[in-house]
Amino acid sequence: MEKPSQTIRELASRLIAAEASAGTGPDVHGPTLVCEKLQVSLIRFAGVDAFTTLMRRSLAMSREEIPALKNVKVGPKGCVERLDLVAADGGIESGAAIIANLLWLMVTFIGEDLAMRLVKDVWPDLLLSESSKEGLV
Amino acid sequence: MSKDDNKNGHDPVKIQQIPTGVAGLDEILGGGLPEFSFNIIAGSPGGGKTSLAHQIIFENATKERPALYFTILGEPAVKMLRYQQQYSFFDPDKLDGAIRFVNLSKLILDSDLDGVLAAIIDEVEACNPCIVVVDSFRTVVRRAQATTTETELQAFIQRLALHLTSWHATTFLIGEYRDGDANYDPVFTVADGVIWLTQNTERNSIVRKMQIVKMRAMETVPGLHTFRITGDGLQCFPRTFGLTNRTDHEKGKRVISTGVPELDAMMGGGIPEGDSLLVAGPSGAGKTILGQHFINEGVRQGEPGIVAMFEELPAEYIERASKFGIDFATPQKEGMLKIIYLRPLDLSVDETLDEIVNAVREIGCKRLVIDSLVGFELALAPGFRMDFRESLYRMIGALTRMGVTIISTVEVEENFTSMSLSNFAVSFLADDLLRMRYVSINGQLRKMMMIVKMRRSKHSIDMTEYEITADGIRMGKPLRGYRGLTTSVPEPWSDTSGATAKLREDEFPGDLND
Repeated sequence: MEKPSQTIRELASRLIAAEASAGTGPDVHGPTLVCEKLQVSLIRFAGVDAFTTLMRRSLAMSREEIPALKNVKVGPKGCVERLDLVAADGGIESGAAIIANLLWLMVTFIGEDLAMRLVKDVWPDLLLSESSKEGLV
Repeated sequence: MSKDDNKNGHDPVKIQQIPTGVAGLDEILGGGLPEFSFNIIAGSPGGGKTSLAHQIIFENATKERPALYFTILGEPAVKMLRYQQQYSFFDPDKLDGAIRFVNLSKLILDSDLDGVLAAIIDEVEACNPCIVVVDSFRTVVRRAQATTTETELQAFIQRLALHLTSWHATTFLIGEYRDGDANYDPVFTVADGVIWLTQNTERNSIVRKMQIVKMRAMETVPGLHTFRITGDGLQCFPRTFGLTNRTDHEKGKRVISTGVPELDAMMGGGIPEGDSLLVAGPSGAGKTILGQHFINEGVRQGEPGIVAMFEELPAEYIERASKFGIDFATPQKEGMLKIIYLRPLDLSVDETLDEIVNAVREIGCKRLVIDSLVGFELALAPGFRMDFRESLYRMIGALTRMGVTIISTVEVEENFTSMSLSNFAVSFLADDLLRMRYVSINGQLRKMMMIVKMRRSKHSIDMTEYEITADGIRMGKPLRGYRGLTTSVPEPWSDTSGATAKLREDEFPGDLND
């Protein structure tokens, strides 16, 4: 099965970095914040069931790469739970994998244009890298 | 729809297609099944729904991306497998992990829709299938209708579709449905695709047809397509004969010889390449021989030919041609000639035509003779005869667009008051029409032929006598000096001075002076 491209993975890392740098305090966890913001945007667009299903799918795909995600759960509304407790990396790299897979699923099902529009709705000032301007897939 | 077709210039999401493994069905679907789609296979019992689903899973399932087959109060897996393994596509090795059967019958009886959904989701998440089949989904719906509202049922179907699609599974819900059910069942609203299988019994034959009622994002071939279930599973016969993507050949760029030079001259040089010529005439008039001349001339010029026949065996046909000095045995051995003997009985017209089209592709056929249309129609099961003209029209259109030049023969019942072109409303199939006819002159039954129409050429308007000799057709001279030739019982034409025309005296000595 296809996996997220390097460009999508880079985009996921940039989203995490943007959230981490914008937040303050010891509880700021970049990947969790990105997931929460995508949750709001995607639920408005596609509904709770759709978001929850996509998040479960992206978690399952990420577990194939990162077995340490086995204790991470997706809550009833698609919230990612216990991501910050991933021992290996504090959930940063593994969180990036989940977000990359989620973005890739969005591109697969609704297409790149629409997926990127949803991302830009949440992060309007996010400058896309040169490579992502040429396409995410 | 391709990216180039998108008027707004945006890059549409790419929808991959997966093969069905069913001959002809990918063509009908417009290339295959859309990946991750949520589909219904509907129809009556015995319609081939389960066999179709099996064919699709055996085509696609792998150990890495297995197929998950849920059985629910329908045919138990053990019984199903006993029968399905009779098909040639059945690969027992795939049952070792690539195809997994899960029985949910007890769950359906004991649980509500949420429980059923949870069980399906658990199985799907555990095995990451490429294909999921629920057989029979109608059972799930019937069971649910007793205890849940329509809205709850719709929500269940939506969640099921959402989950299976998100899990990258292409789904097939199998159900026994009748015409009209689709208007009221919410599953048809949610479904991306609906494949409807029907079978009707007409007199002694079974007519199976398939319709793609709906298939989102695909340019499917509309209409009802005949299919057959054999030891190889389902085989579909698309109404397009697999010729959808063929480029059109420019008709009539050159003329090709019939093998009878004098007849070529009457036609303005020959038959325009890519035309369909209908040869109509009574029994014994020489229609078959004309077809043999045409094929023989093609072989001589290096143009492969096909004869599709319904009334005599190929050996007899070859033997008959040899009596006119035509050798068909050699080109048949060398692959320049294919003689197809079709005795379809309960076969459909599309199925029969599919065999002709396959042969055309196989040898790169340039010349085709269909001998005869009457025999063809009679050989079909009664239930298929109503489709005959329409199917024939589609096939002739498709083949001539590929540049194949076709001669079809049709037997005409003679009468002596008028001249019908065919008993049989098929002349619309033809670009060109040649009529053969017996004519009674001076106590002799002679033969004449005339070109009735040629769409692309100027042609002779003569009614010309011909004979069948040891060398085949030998053209004579135009029959002039008669009136009422078209009635078959002409009379000498007299001018006002009372003199009888004697134009033919020198041409066939003795004819008029007997």
